[in-house]
Amino acid sequence: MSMKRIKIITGCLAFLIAFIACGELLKYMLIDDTGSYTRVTFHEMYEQDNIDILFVGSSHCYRSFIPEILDNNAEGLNTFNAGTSSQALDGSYMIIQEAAKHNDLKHIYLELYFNVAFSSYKDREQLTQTYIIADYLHPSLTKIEYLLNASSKKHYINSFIIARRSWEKLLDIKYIGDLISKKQTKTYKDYGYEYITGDAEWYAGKGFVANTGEIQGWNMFLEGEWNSFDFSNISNDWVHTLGDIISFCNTKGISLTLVSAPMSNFYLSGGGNYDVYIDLVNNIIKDTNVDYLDFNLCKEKYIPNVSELFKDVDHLNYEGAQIFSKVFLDYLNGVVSKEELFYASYEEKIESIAPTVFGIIYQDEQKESGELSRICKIISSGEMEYAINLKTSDNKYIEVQDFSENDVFSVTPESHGACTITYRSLDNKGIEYSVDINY
Amino acid sequence: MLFNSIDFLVFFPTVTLVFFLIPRKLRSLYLLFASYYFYACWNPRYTLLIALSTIITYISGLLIEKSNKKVKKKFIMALSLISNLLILAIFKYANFAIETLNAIFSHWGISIIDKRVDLLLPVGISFYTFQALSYTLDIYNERIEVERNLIRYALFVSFFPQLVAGPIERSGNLLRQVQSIKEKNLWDFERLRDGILLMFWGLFQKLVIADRASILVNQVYNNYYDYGFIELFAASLLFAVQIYCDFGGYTNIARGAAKVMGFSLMQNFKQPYFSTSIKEFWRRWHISLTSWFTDYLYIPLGGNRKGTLRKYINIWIVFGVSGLWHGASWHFVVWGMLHAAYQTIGELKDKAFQRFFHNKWDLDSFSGKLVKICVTFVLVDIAWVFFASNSVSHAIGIFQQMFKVFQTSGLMGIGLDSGNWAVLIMGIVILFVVDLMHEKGKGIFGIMEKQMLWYRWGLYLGLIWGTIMLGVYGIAYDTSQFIYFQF
Repeated sequence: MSMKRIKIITGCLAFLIAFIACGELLKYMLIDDTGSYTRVTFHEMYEQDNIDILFVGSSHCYRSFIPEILDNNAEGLNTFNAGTSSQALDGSYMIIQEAAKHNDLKHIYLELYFNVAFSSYKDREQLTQTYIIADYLHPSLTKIEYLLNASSKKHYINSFIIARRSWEKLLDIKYIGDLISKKQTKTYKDYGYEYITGDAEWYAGKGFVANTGEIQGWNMFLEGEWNSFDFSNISNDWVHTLGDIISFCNTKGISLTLVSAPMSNFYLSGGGNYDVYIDLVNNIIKDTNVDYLDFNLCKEKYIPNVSELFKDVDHLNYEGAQIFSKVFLDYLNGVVSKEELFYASYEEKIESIAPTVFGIIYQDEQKESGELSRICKIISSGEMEYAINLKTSDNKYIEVQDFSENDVFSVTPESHGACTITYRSLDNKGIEYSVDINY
Repeated sequence: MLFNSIDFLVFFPTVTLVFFLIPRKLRSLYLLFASYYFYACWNPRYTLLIALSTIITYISGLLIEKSNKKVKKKFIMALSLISNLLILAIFKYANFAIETLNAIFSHWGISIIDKRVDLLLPVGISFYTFQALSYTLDIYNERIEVERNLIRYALFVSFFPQLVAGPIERSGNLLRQVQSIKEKNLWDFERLRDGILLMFWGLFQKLVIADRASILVNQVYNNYYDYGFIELFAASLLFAVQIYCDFGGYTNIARGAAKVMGFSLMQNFKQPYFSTSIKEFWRRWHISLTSWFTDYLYIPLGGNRKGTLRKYINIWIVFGVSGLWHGASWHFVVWGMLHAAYQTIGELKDKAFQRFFHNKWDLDSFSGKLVKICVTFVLVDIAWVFFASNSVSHAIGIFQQMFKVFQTSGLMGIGLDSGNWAVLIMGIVILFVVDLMHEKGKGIFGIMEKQMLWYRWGLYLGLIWGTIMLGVYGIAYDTSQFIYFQF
């Protein structure tokens, strides 16, 4: 080879290295990941000697499964929680493949949160849930394939050129200075937990995020339609990727179990017919060796559905996660069986509990006159009669209705106060219960 | 397939690498296949139109060469011309003709044709048709030898870097290079580097400047009735920048891509906004089209050889046709006519100046040139309003609004925030400096070539990363079209 050719090849390689270094430098200057759980999670994932049991899924996964508790399993298997915010199934599949490359995985628990199942990958406009996975996994062809399939082409520039996502910060010297200072700290460099520790929420290791918050009042503002869970809209991408994950685990000899973490009865009953979703998942796995554990069917004596255990309507708090993880550990150790833990359906679970008003969901509607009205709907465990009284923030008492089966009422938009609902079962009108809900 | 798309990012390096590696005798066939694939990515069926145009002009060339009689040669040339222009007319001008006829006859309450022709305008049809026609005309005028190899000729017509938006190449340049494709030494590092840099400079013009300017221009022009003088004036200034960077950027990418593959395409722009007259502007703007019209329309019409009046008539004809070439709509015709008027008045003014102010004003001094450049720019920019509008009434509406409403709520927030403005202004300044250096005869890449290695390659890196980071990847991230693709 002539000297000139060697010079050119060396020059090209040097340019390529300089190009990549530039990209990394810009990323360092512009991308603020100092508060990212997943940066630490995936660093820890790669640092594990061997992960035997892997948990993947959405925030319900990383807020529910506590590896510190689950590591006490009878076989002494090492567990790791690789849940990430709004993790869709393609993200779970990516993490599973990456984890399988570096570990001798024995069992995977794939958490299935239905709300990430509706959009098709190419229709995604918001890709944060994809980037928080891809940005921290090692470079590989699988990762490229993941990014190519995770969105339409118009997002590729931001998917592959990470610094491009915050280009406008290039002109913000203060932001760059502050960010570099943060990144220069020992905690950041050592993947410490300092930056991702708040008063109520903190990263607790091996992927678990603890939160001591407690749900404040069983009310929820609904942006969409009543009965918003439309499970007929579950995307083909979701179904196909679930099939891919099942095939992958079969090929690699890894046991796979699908799992749903507990959510509040208020959230599930308010959203629609949850049993449709359970049937759908069971239908997908019916001819496979995959099991499905839906902890929303869990009996109250194991995991009570009370506000003290939830940080919001669909996520467990730290106390809830501890109770749940202990129950899950008992299941892993064979102390309790699936049959003992669960009802056959969500409907059966709701029927088994005493008549209860879970809360109210409300929605703003525009009348024909153009005036806004806030419509409230009572979410309860069955057919009941309700007497509704309001105490407004300026201490006025308003009787909305005496006992009636009507479960919808309206309040003035933007008004606040307490709503006292007295209710009784249609089957037994002799016993009345009462609940106060803020609105 | 757009030059600023992910598809091209995969297509171009792949095609180039394979082109470098395949046996020399397969090069033409391979590039022809790649070029048709490039076009088919937009619409596979319309590749048949390119093929048809290619075959017509190819056979015409052979027949013209074979025939001994002048009349027969002329007949074949005319047949080739008519058939190609007929294709162009059907696909591009049919609806325009129908609408115009209906508008004329509607005065008498007559509707000539009720239906519109439901045909998609083939991308780049005006470009490749003109390129193919130039071949027939050059053969007829015995300027070049006939090409007997169909593959080589088809590649000349469809060479993908310049297929959809030019430059409109002549057989004397591109066909000659295709003919010597086997002899090309492709592994030339300096050429490859310069080609890639030219492509990135084009991408910088398109993504960083043109597409950013288009955000404000589209917002203001599409809703002109909501804005006043300041906004409309700013939009008009920015459109001048946008169209230059859009088309100039496209041309640079095309020339760069061709250069990487060992081809040299003609220069299409020479710092047009430094022109001191409209006549000069047209020697600097879309040079390949101007020279095409000069050689194949203006000169055959008689050029300036048949008296002053005839010369001006010829200018008006050429600019009218040029307007129509740009689009089947009256606002393009008005744009062309405005340029004809500028040129006519400009020449008359020059004569008057010669006579009355000959010794009083030195128009070749710096200040004189500056005034001329500014005046030319203003005139060009006024005409651009017609070009950028959807119709003549739209353009008139913009002018009326411009001089009716003088209050403003500022330029911030019309699609561009302070960060985008800063990048846009920085981009325009860089463009100005680069053009100024070219104007002084100092090519920017030539200057960079003389710098120290680390400094030079640092600038190259800066250009590439600047384009990647600061590029607008279309409004709402949809890859945006090049303006000249529609022609």
